Amino acid sequence: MKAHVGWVGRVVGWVEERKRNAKSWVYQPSLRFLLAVVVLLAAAPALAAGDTRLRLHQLVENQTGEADVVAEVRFGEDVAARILGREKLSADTNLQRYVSLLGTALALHADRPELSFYFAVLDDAAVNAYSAPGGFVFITLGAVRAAQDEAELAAVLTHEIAHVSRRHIVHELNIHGAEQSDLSALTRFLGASADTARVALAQAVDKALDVLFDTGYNVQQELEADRVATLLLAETGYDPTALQRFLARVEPADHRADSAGMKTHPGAGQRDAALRQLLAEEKLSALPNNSTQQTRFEAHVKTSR
Amino acid sequence: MTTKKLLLATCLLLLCGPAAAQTLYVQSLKAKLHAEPSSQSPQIAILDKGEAVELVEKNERWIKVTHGQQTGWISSLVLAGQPPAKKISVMDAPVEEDAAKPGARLRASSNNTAAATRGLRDDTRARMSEEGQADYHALETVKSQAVSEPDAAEFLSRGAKQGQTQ
Repeated sequence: MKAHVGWVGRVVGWVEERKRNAKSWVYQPSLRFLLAVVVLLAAAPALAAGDTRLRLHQLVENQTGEADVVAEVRFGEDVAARILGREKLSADTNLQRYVSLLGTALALHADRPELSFYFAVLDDAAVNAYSAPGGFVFITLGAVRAAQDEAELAAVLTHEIAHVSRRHIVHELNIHGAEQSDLSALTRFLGASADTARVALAQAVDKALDVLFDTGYNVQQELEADRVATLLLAETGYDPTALQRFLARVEPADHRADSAGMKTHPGAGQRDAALRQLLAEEKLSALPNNSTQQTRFEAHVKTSR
Repeated sequence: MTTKKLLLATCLLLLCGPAAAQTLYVQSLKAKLHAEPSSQSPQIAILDKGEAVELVEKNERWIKVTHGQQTGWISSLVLAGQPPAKKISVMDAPVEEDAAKPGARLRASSNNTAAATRGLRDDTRARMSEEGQADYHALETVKSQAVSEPDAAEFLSRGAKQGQTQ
């Protein structure tokens, strides 16, 4: 017989006792009906909230502890250092401060208050942006200069903040195995001193770099980051159409989006259509009182050209 | 008969359950309480991080809440069922040579957080830096360029004021 503890044990024991009873209540139709009602009522709130759509590891991740967040940041440091091994920082300290002020202000309005976000400009003429778990966001000089105003720059940064806040890279690692979540598996890798765990951690860093520089995020993650970014722009007073107009102008020229190796990456058309639909559903449009901060943007960015 | 009463009482309790208010907390620095579920609808109030609201109803992207005597909509992006977590500092988490057993779940506590904070070992980091695969010095530069949160918040509010006068 299984050992049960606490109230669960008492309930199971009581049920087993009733089963042994010749006048077993579970065989009484009226009580069976009542029992079914109890079960349905108990499940109803979860069904209504859509919780059943979440996988177990996602449910577990919604209640992460301090150790998991520290693991996420430590892992992110290793990924960020690898990004910086490929791309050098821009030497323009004024531009670095401007992007840091804007990015940090936007991150304060996201839903990961436990993270410290860091922002940096990379000395690369290509139009690109990257983020590492835990709050490390990088944008290339090419992307900064491709923006037409501060709202568009904010759009690129909020898109990357969304990848961090939703732990997209950690999910792409798909390392949870027998663990409850990818994040808890990562926590164990980082806490272990065994060589196998260290190898697994190094492989996880490699895989994160593959996602960032080669395979890209999956379609749903990319569209989710676009959606979160646009809503965050709207809530912080920026022009909510900024991401849509930036992508419409820049994305077709971005080889990453259309190359054969990016089959999982949504094309420019798909992202544009999704953003237009979101703007329509949310009744969002460019209004005169939306902030684009073009003057401030030009003061900081044009001097860096 | 006792069993019937017990089950009936459970039913009643469960029926009353969903009617009980669910408390949510603001996770972002500020959260706008809107008249309608749209960012461009009029603002009723601005709530600070950590403030509690009561859930009334929700859709995919917006949650209708009450806050004191006020009722309105807040973006679901910035509300959660628990108070906002404190800022995590990995600098405060010392590294220990404490092996975690395979399958052992590290829980959040001051005792075992440290064991979960190593990342790649220092010798691995040094080797990768020497080989040019990673640049931990540049990472430290990025961290040193971080701006304070009050400065960032002031930057955003200054921009918003300028935007209103443009």
